[in-house]
Amino acid sequence: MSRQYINPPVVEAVCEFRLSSDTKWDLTIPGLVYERIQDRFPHKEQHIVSDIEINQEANGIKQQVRTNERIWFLTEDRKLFIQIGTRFLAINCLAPYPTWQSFKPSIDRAYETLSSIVSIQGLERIGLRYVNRIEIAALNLELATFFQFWPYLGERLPQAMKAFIVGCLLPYSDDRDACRIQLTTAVTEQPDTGGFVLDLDYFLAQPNTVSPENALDWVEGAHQNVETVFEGCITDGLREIFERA
Amino acid sequence: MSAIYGHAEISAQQQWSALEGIATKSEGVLRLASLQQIGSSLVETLSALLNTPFNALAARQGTADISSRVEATLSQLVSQRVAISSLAKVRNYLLQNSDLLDLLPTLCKTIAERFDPGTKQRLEYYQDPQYEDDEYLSLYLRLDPVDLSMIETIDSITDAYSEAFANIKGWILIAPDFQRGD
Repeated sequence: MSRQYINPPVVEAVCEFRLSSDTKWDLTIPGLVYERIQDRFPHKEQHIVSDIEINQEANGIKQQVRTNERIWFLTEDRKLFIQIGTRFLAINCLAPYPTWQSFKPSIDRAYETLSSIVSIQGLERIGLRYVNRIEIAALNLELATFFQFWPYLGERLPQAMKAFIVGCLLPYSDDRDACRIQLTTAVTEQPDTGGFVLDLDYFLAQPNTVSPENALDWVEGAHQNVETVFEGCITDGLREIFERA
Repeated sequence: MSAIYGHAEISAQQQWSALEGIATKSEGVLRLASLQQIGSSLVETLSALLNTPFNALAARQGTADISSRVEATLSQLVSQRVAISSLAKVRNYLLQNSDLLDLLPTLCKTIAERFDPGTKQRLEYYQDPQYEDDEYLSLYLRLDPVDLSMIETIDSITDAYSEAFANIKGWILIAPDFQRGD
């Protein structure tokens, strides 16, 4: 978030690009990318990601398990890394989140490096996601004091909540983009502390509606919208906590 | 705008955690990431969801982030009654060794099934004071009264998971906890 907090809640920011299926891809590409970025991302790791695909078909539900390989290129402190998989690029930034002005150049460099190696035909998805973990030291805290986005319970329901998950999807740019907001409870170390994860995922909802040349401009616009959503989800009561040294 | 999360069918933390991985519904296709977070009843849950509006679920294609998976895993462990000591350090270790996220809840579930229901599991971070690189998670098991045969059971579980641990980054040590008191 560009507003500077002393204790920012961001635990991870991720920008991802999924290339269209007509983009040619081969196994040498991660190595070629690494050659050009290893000065900043010297460490390499290989990870296997498991996906289940569930198709609803006429005769029922069909499940399929797939594994995909992803290569990670990490900075010396391992707080910033690039993931590359088949037609997939993501740039992750773990806490402490520096600033958008510091993070964005890494996104630009990763995407431009890939673009110089691969002829990107289209973008099925672009996403900019911020995962915020918020801890509030208070017993029986009133969510409304800290959030402007929370689960509402009618007066005939018990008001005490042990855990919750609430989310919504907001349309942007005439439904071309969308922003998913999700607030859930999180595990905390102290029993008298409330823990929450505020997960904001802004993404291109309509595939191939942003040209590869404009992808980084889209990311810039996405960041502005995510920032507005974040500030819209919280109250001054929470901002005060973020400002505490 | 829609606000569909929190269906009546999704009652358990484990299922919520599983739903963390839900991706986009595109022409009848749901994609999920992070196998380990998928509970045994997920397919039934999804079957129910397939008949609901997907607006709230249409956000993801797999997960590129780690943090939400870590948080979901920690929530799932707590729901499995695994106590977590030094939470911040455990969280940080999982962030740096995210392959473990695919194994940890399954491992704890296996342990819960193999031992008496009264067995307590406690997850801790360990770092050798002399060798900083020597770090791992310890999963302590406490049985009251102490039963030394638990060591054999721990060995058999460790053997069963050794292959799964062999090709991933990160390590979990399963050990009996013979200390008295909390």
